Amino acid sequence: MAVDDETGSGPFDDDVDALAAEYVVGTLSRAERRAVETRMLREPDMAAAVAEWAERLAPLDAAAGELVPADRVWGAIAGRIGGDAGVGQVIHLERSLKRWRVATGMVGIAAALLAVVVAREALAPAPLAPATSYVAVLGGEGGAPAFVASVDTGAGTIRLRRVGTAPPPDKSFELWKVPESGPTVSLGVADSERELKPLDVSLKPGERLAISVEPKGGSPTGQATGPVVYIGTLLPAE
Amino acid sequence: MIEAVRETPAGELDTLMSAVAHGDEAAFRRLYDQTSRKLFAVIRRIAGSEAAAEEALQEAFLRIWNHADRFDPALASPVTWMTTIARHAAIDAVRRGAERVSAAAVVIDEELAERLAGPSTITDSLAGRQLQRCLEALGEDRRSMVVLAYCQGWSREELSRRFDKPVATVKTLLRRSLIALKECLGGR
Repeated sequence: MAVDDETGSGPFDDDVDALAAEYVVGTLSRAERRAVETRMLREPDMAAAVAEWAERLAPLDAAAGELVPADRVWGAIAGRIGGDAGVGQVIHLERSLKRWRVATGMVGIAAALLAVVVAREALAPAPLAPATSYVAVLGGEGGAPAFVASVDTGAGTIRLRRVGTAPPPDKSFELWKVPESGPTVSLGVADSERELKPLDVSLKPGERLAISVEPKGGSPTGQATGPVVYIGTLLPAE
Repeated sequence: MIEAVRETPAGELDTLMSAVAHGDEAAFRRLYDQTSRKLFAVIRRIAGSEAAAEEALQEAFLRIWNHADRFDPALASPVTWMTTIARHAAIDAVRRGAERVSAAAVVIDEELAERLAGPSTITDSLAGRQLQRCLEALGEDRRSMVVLAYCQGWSREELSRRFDKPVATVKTLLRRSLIALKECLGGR
């Protein structure tokens, strides 16, 4: 790469630096990121390069400001670190592996890999409920359909087809899950005629989907700020 | 339930991190109270929905709990270290979804992209102004690539579509841009 010459350091160093930079920026694939994390455990240069890049780019975080998460998030975390045997075992296993690595003086590639893999698998989000399909027709005043939504919980997708008018040019449509009780949950902006969105929340028959009019790009608050213009009930498709 | 907003002395977070590394749950709760608002804001910029953001925040703090003993106060500040973990958790949440819909075109909100890629995305600190100046020196496309990747969690593939360049070219451009950025900042 041309940068080798520009920086005047060896190719190995550039490899470390470029990998560390992309690691922090977030453009590595999952496998590449894991490889960097493994190297960070045994290569001080890699750990230092990642830390330097994180500090270098940290001013970009400030523009995000602060946002108070719902109390239920801490509840979920506390439930998984306290009595939860699974996570406790991971920590125990991982720390045991570290001690073993030190004790034996081995490089510990296998141990580090295993620790990372075990932790990742144990911490993966709970699997979704058995696959179900739903449809909902979202209509507004007068009942004319505006959107048709089909949900495939097996594939984890919502397919949205707009059959009504497009949003005003300076506004966005945003799709919401409306549970029977509790706050609405954003399912993302829906400005295109056809959208295929990942489904990140659970849905039950009888719950409703709604479309609100939001500032371009979606609600800035995480809750609907504009009028709800279309709404429809989820029905089992089979 | 949330403690009153107040400044956390830098050293206090280091102390909390050290206690968390030893499995101190009360210290972990304090760490959460003092950092979750910032991490949640960073995650929310990347995650597609409030629900996905909440799940990513949960995942981030579990990783922080599990890996606190990897934190080295000599290398980075606790908040910076935690923010990297939080951004990766958010990116995982986004890409888990993306994998499922890999055949579908990713809907890219051009206006949001322009807004994020433009000036004044950064705080007015000295480090922020230097970074801003060096980002601007990259030129519009390269600056946008770096900012969209870092702030919005865009993958090489998404950048490839947005900038109409092959994925391999995006990777090369990103790396060159980042090395140029480091040099501009007087890279250590």
